[in-house]
Amino acid sequence: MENSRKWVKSFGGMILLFLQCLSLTFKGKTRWKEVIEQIFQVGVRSLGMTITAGLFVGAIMALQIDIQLKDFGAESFLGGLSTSTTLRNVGPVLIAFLLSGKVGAYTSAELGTMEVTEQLNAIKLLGADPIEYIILPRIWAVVISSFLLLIVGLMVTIFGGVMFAEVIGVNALSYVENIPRIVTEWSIVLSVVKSFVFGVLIAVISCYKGYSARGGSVGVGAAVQSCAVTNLMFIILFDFLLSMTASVFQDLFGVGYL
Amino acid sequence: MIVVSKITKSFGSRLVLDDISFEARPGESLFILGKSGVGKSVLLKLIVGLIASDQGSISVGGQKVDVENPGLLAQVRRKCGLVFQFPALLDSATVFENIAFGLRARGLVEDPNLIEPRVIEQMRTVDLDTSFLNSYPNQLSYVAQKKVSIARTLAVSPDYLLFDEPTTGMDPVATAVLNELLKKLKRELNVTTIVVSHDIKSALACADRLILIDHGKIVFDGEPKNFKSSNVPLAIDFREGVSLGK
Repeated sequence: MENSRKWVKSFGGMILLFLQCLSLTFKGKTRWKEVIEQIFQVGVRSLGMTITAGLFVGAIMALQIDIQLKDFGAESFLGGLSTSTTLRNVGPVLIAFLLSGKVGAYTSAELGTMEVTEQLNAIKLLGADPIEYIILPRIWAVVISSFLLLIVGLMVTIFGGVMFAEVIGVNALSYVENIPRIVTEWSIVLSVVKSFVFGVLIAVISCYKGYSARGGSVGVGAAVQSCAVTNLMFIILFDFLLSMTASVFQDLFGVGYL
Repeated sequence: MIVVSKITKSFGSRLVLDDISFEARPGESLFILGKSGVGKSVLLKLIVGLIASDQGSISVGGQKVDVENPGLLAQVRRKCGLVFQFPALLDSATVFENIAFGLRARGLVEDPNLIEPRVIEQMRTVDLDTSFLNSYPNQLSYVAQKKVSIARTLAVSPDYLLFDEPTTGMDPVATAVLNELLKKLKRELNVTTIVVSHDIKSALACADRLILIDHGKIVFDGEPKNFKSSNVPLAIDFREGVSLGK
């Protein structure tokens, strides 16, 4: 019962923080210079990891799907099926997992440390709003970084698939030519939407968990742990919800398949 | 004047402050003493509205501290400056940016060119080398960080200065500098100060009045000369510097 109450409080807190940040943004309170600095801090430094992971995700998908297709003698579909699966599901989810571990953990640990060392209280007493000064730039930096990294990561997964196709004996040109046969603009739209939603989730959850940390270094550790678990849960949940929504769109309007 | 009236505060089942009442008069240097964990820091946080009391009321300069009313609370906070026990400096900001933060946030200096002279003035006030202006907190010693924290608070010219364990982690020289600073603030600016501490030497050197808290209650309230002759057991312990772990 106590855990349920804490979970509801935490969920409500995240929604309120998100709404408060949206409200401040519409009031023109975002300090974009700080956002750019934070994008460098959390985003640019994650680029190498994202590219490396993306290459291997693409290669793994090509390998796994090729094994299945061989049974049916349908290797010519490898490019389309592999890219579609990667774009619509596996790519965004896996890269979001990685970013939640790197960007999310960094952000929640930084904010948690600021909270338990009274830096955020000091800001309040000096006449500023810590949500406006500290949280808002980080929220937007994480949203933008995560979104851009996810897009870069997805492009690299396609490249990884193409490269690995050559290794397993599938002609790279036919791999690429097959992509438009199965991957539609709706696959790309869904991929972009998922990337944006996952970016927002990582930003809000990480900032909220850090901001609500209490109780010294133990509290910061607990906040980072909770941030990691909550990020993973919400990424999976929203992946399911968005995939279901895409499926409904396909049934109702005949769009969004594959 | 700061008026604390019948304040009670608990954390869970632990009663920390029990029906506490006192006043800090204009220009007075009031030291609040007590063992670690008796709620001295909680008292300061209640005064600036960082936490809410369970019962009782507090007013600062005639304005009630109401954590439910952000507008009123902001007015109260503009009058106060709190120096935290640990420096609480923004890690990602330089010394200059830290000290200038309140000036900018409160819009106290209209001309941006005047911010740096004011920051340097505050650094000199706390005897901090101005070559640290562009250093980051992690490049400074603990004592220097503490001085930056005090300079940051002084920069916004508060009417009421609150110090939470100001001498914690400071060497005797830095403690002496801080004691002199407290005397100087009183002498030159007539600022009302409340200092939470367990440093009896500093208290006897700087205080106009001492309050001693034990088990959530005020057990002594008076001038340093009366504290020296008080028969309150904790006052005796503090004087003799023994039995604090009992």
